[in-house]
Amino acid sequence: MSDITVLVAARNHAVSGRPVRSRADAAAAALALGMSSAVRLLTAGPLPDAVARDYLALGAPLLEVLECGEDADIAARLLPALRDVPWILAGTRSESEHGTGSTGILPYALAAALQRPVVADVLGIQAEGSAWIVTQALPKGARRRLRVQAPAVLVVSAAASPTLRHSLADAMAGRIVRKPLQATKPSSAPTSPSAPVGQRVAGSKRRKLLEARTQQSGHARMLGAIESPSTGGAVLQAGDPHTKAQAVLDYLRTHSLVHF
Amino acid sequence: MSTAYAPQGQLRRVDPRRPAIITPAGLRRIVLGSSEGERISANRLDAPVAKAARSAGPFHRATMVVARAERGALGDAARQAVAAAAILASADTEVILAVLGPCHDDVAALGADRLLAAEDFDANRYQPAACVQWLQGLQAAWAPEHWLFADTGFDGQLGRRFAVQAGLGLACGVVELGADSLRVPAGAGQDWLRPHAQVMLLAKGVASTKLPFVGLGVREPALPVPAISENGIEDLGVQAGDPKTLALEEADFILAAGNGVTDLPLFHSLALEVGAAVGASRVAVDDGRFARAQQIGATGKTVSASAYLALGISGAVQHLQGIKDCRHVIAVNLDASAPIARRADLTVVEDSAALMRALLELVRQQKEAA
Repeated sequence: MSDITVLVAARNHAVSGRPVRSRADAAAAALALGMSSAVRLLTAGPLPDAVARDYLALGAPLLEVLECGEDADIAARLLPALRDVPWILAGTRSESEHGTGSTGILPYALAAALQRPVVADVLGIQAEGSAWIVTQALPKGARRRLRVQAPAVLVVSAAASPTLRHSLADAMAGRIVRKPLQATKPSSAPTSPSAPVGQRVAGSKRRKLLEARTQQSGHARMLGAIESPSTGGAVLQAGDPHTKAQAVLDYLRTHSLVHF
Repeated sequence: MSTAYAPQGQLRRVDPRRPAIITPAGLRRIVLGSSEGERISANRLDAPVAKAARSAGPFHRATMVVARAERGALGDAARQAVAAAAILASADTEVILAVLGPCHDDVAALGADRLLAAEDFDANRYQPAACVQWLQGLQAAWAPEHWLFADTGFDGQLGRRFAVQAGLGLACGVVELGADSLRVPAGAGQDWLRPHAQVMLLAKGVASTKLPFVGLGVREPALPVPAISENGIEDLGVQAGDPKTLALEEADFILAAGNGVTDLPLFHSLALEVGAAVGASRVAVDDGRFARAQQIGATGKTVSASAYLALGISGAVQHLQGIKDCRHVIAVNLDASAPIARRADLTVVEDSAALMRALLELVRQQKEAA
């Protein structure tokens, strides 16, 4: 039994629409392969062989594919395979690669079902005894370090940039194990939040903006038509450079933009 | 020939101050021949009218909008989420804004009826489980029908955690919100069209923040964020980003130079002293004074800093495109009528070198005093 399981999936390429390797998933796999433990790649649902080989080329010996139906609950399908795994890694789903309208919910759903903590936006991992030191990305370039004890679920940020190696030998030698779906028993479990609701319709490029209904007088509408969009803020003309510099610093201080 | 205008030598006069009444809808209505109403001069009509409240209550239902405030202010995405909640809310629905951290914004103008601010929230601590528990406390107290989050960074993650923990229906990355349905992209040029979920994470640009009404804006201290331990996770501290190694898109404070900056050593020492990342306009980059990676604008980078200090930049349209997401823009320029003065929140008319020298001196003084 491997210590680390990386959840991978194919995403549809933004232009060609073909299934390709997801960058964040590949980064997660590369981070996991950098650790000394055995790594298993795992996916549920359709994964073409070419994409699977792309993942194996990172150096993983094994990729398991749990086959399931089109609209099946992926979290429920993955759960039995993850119960005894101390470390689960997954890639962040970005805006452009969603399927069911529950973008990026899978790690949270799995962690809640397994009762484990989730650490999101992971950039790097280091082993420290049995624990891991995890570097987390925060906005504005800040980094947070966390000491995480197993078991846990880590969601790797798309900004993580480990070296992604591509080895043809590994891609050829790696095994792809496809596990077919067992005879389904009628599911009595409540549907998870990741189950899709609603219907597929053709999307349009132009999104309809949600606006409040307004009733304006004709006069006000005419004023709006000739109104200039913005006239700018305060203008400081008078004074010597010193008072002006003081004004700039005061502005920065009142909006707490500087800390010294 | 004045006969064409007044054939009988008699001009029909229209009283410009005819009595008019203001209808409940806010329209000015003139009833011909009536002497009822007020004689309002045109000047008074031009004056901005105070917006009416969306609903005076009493409220029986609630929509909760959750956001984290950064430096006491809400981000654009969070403002849009509040506006969306206010637009969709019926007359007996209260729009409650729950903010992690202190919030100094005018929440009534944003459309919120009630502000619950957890003032003691420390953004530097790692406490997602405590935040989720705080939200569950709010759910027990207010029982909101819908939860709205902005689907960005911290807010988006908190929304996902909360929805999963509380077992509520969730719609992520909502790109279109209607009165009773919403759309989320399903890939391959298709959308999922589905009814409203209990928890909705709104993508940027879903709602317009221009509201014809205001909320009630009642401020109320919220329950403190509970102090519970994160299971199996120990926080080793936050390290602030180094502005010198940071990508410009990620920088929080940018000092940008244009053609008006000639004293480069002074400029760089000021940037180092205030801890700002360095950017430049196209002219300064083409001149060879800065690297191409530091160019901000249409052909360079689009930045989203909280503070942008533009020194000697006139503000061509292409440059203004690059700084459209910056929150506070300060311009230093010799020309008060330069286009950047229309964008800037504060324009200082001064030679950039003189101001840089004065500012550097001030900052050094204050750092020594601190």
